[in-house]
Amino acid sequence: MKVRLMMTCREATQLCSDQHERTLTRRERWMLRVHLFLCHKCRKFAAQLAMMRDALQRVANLQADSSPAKLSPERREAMKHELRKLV
Amino acid sequence: MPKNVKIPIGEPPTGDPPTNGQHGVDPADWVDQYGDALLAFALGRVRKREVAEDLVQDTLLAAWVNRERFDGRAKFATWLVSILRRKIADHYRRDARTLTASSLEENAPDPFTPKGMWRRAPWKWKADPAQLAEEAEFQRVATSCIEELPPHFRQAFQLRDLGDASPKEISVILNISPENLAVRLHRARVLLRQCLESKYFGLAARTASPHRGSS
Ligand SMILES: [Zn+2]
Repeated sequence: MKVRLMMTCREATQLCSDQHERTLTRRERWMLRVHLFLCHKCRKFAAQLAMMRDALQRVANLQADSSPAKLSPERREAMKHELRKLV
Repeated sequence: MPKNVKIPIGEPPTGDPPTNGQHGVDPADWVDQYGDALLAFALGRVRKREVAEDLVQDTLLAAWVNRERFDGRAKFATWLVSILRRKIADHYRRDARTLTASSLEENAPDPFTPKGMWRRAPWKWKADPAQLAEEAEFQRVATSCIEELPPHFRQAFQLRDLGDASPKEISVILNISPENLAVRLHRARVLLRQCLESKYFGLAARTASPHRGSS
């Protein structure tokens, strides 16, 4: 079997993505580092991924701030009404 | 303003939780005591406000119906959250079921060749996330790009990158393995990156904005 020194861009970007969920293994970290060293496309991807998450989280937060996590008085009353039906 | 508070559920105001159908317990009080905290928790996992509110209501109703099952070992608030978690998972299961027919993940364009190379190289972006997020045009494009994701990818992305849920919790909610979740997140992020590039950064490059664009 042929030993692959380089992982594909698909595999490399998968690891870039995985980094946000888990700690990579030592081997994965090494393989990724080699790939990123040699591949400017995936290097851009890695940087953009972090930037994109940051920007999109900020957008989501801005949108959430415009409607705070508080039940409206109407909704509150409607819920109480539903609950009292069960008593 | 507080938004997606991490674990927003506080202690019940007084020592013992109002349960077991003791006399004088009015479940409507739960709305005031726990409603906002449950809503904050739900909004960290479900983006649509009406859906989140419905889930909170379902949770309180279920809690009242099953109040004998609360054994007092956990905090009452924790027990409510455990019910809410199940309601959220149910919601995603329903959501996924209605979506399977309409959306075939395979239809999403694969940004890589069969050999695993980029079909189109990523461009260079120059942008500051904080500045981007304030921009109305970026907000519009971002929202529509997220909406356009194939639903299974979108669910994973919203829960993970926009919400508060941990990968483990998301695997439970979506009823998929952690490996499958990792694959969905990868696809979602790659597709989203591509969408932003063609609908936002690409235009920015053509109009040669001083703030952003390719070079
Ligand atoms: Zn690469």
